[in-house]
Amino acid sequence: MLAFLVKRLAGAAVVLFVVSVITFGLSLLIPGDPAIHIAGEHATREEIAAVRARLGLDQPVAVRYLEWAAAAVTGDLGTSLYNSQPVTEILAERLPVTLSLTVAAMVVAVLISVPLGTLAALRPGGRLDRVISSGTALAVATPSFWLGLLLILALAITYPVFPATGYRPLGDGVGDFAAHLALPALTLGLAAAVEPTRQLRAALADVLDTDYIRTARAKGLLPVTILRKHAIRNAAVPYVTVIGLETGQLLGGAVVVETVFGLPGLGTLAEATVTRQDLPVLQGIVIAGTVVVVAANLAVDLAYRWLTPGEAA
Amino acid sequence: MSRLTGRVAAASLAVLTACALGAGCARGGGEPARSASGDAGGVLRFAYTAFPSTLDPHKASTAWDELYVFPIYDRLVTVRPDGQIAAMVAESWSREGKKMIFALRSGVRFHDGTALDAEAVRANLERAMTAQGSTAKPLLKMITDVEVEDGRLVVGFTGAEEVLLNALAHRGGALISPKAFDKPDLDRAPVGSGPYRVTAYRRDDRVVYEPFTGYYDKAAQRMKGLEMSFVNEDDTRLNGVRSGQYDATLIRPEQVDTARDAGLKVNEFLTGLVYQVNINTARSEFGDQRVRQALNYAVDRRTIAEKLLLNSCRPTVQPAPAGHWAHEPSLDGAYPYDPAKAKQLLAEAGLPNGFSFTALAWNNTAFVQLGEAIQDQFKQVGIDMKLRPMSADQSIDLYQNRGEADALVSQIGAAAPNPGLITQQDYLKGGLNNPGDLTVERIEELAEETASASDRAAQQSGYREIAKLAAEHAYNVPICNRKLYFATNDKVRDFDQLLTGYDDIRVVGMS
Repeated sequence: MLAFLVKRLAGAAVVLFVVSVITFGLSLLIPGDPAIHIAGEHATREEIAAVRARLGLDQPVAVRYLEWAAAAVTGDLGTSLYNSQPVTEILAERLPVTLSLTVAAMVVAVLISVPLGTLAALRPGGRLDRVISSGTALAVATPSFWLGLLLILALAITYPVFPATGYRPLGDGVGDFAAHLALPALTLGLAAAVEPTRQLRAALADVLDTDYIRTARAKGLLPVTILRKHAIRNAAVPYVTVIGLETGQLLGGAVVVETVFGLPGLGTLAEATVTRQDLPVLQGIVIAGTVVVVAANLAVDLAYRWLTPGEAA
Repeated sequence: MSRLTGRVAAASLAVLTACALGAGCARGGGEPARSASGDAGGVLRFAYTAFPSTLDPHKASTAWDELYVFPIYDRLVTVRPDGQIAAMVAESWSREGKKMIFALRSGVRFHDGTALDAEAVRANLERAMTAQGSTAKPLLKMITDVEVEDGRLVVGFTGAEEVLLNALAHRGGALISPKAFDKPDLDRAPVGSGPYRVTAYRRDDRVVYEPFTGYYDKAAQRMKGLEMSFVNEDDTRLNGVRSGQYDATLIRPEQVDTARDAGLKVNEFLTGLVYQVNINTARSEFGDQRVRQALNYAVDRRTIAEKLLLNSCRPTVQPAPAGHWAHEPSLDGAYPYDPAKAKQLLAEAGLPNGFSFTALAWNNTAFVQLGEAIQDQFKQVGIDMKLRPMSADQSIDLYQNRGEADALVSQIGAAAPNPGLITQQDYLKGGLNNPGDLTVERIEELAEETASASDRAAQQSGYREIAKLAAEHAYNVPICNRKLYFATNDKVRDFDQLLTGYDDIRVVGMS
């Protein structure tokens, strides 16, 4: 297990390095010049050049990357170009919001996909299966920004059950925290439930069609017992894999959902940062997102080993 | 054209400089600017479209920063909602030749307890004019020296005194506690002497303010607190007000009916922000005045304002909006939509078959759609305008700094127009927004005379004459003055007092 972990962590480090290089390169392609922003609206060309020099933006790209990378390995992701705030501090403020949203959306996705996937698998091709398949098709075709606005209109304005916008940290009370996350999590989780539902349905239908399940039925075991003891665990492998892969998509989807609901997470920060070309913060956001995705994939691998001990061995 | 104003100031109340240039000086004494007695109500929760680059007023780089920093930082003087200069930390002032002498209120303190005296003001002006990274230097360039004499502040200056006072009323004149000058987190943990102090700051999210208990003018503290939230999405901001999470927000013209239907009050504000096709007179066929005039005749401003912009913009051929003291009424009918006249002028210029040029356009929907509408109208007279959408930074760099673009579809000006700044940037040789260096002798003369005039009538006459000459020479193709709309709930009081372009939100009250 230890060797496995070390191997995976080494792989993660390589991924982080490659991602950081790509992000740095891509950020240079963003048109415009942050020095123009920072120098102010009345600045002369000389003053803009001075700002560029002060921030090191006139250095060769390779030098800038190496300086950034050297500091990053010590945990210093630099300072925002726009104020004195360290990037790590900015991320520490924002990451909990996005993680809360992602986890809550994941919970929503699981709560939707497990029962629906199971119900659909019980009678493949049946009426319920067709209804669920159509529902998932509809869900995947529904833009999250539209769904979000619809939910706000229905459940925050017409029937003011949940807040329309904003975020409250857990420290402000579980109720407030959950109420502010409810609609964003539902918006994000609904789309995220589609693929796991389909995967679970397909995997479970296959398992339920196997000989050992037929034997279990012949022995007179209750359908619930068959599902719980014999079918679900074997069907869980592709399901867990898909859930892990959804993490990256949830982080991507969070950009839109955070904007629609005005959540101060990494998504809205990324939007503002790209506009301003605050490169150190942008790098930090991508690195943080990569770490989360890599960690999720690692967790999936560990879960896979737990679910299939024989294969892992 | 001011760089950033144009950039997103689309959504800004902010004013770059003196909105009340020449508004008359409330010389000496007078009460601090406020519109009602202090009646601290609830907390105002304001959702806005931008977040400040920094809360250090001397290093602020965007026009909307003042909305966030003014509640924290007092200045020597301020601008009342009616446009008059009024006392703030300065109790009175008088002019002696080229010096302005300020007597300060006694007993005023910064949020950290430091005394706010003449020496502290001198140190602040020094910092604003010399500190590394200060963006206030150009705003205070009329100041020649600052001294303290017998507890009074003596400011040497050039030009008109009203220009000085207006500069001091803005962020360049904001007063920071000298003890906090070197505080590394001053940009997010500010120390001023204003009626509110910051209790929470989360970048690109919100700034929370509470009343400063030691403030000398309790009547100016009309709110129990202030929460300024940055919410970029238009629908999210309005939904926040509709659901009671915010009290006020900026809305799009298309949202006006929705806001009214929801029972919100919609406050309308005609600004000095002008949609404009900026033309580089050194490129394409734009060196010929007749061609530039043809462009102006070829644009149907009224249709664009009514159909495309849903009446959220008032057709104009000059920067100062109707009602502003520098607005020239005789230009209201100038350049009517007249394609035949445009074709005739093109023919006279030797271009009977029209010509082709490329215009950069800021790459957001509003500017691209505006560019496409203008493109279509130009086509009717044989002018082929190719559009090249581009980020504001990049387009400004190409058009203004390098002079390598034919034209730019963008926005100029500020919420509260400053005729002096517009003249300097758009019409004078070397002006930022005059990359072709189009020079009209009479405008150069008038600009010099008017900038140094202290008499309002003289300034008005001068700038109106400049507006007429600029229109005649067709420096650019102005389209319309933008209106801004704010939705407020019934708890917000006197929001209209804020709609002057001078962004001191302390004039707003809460019930």
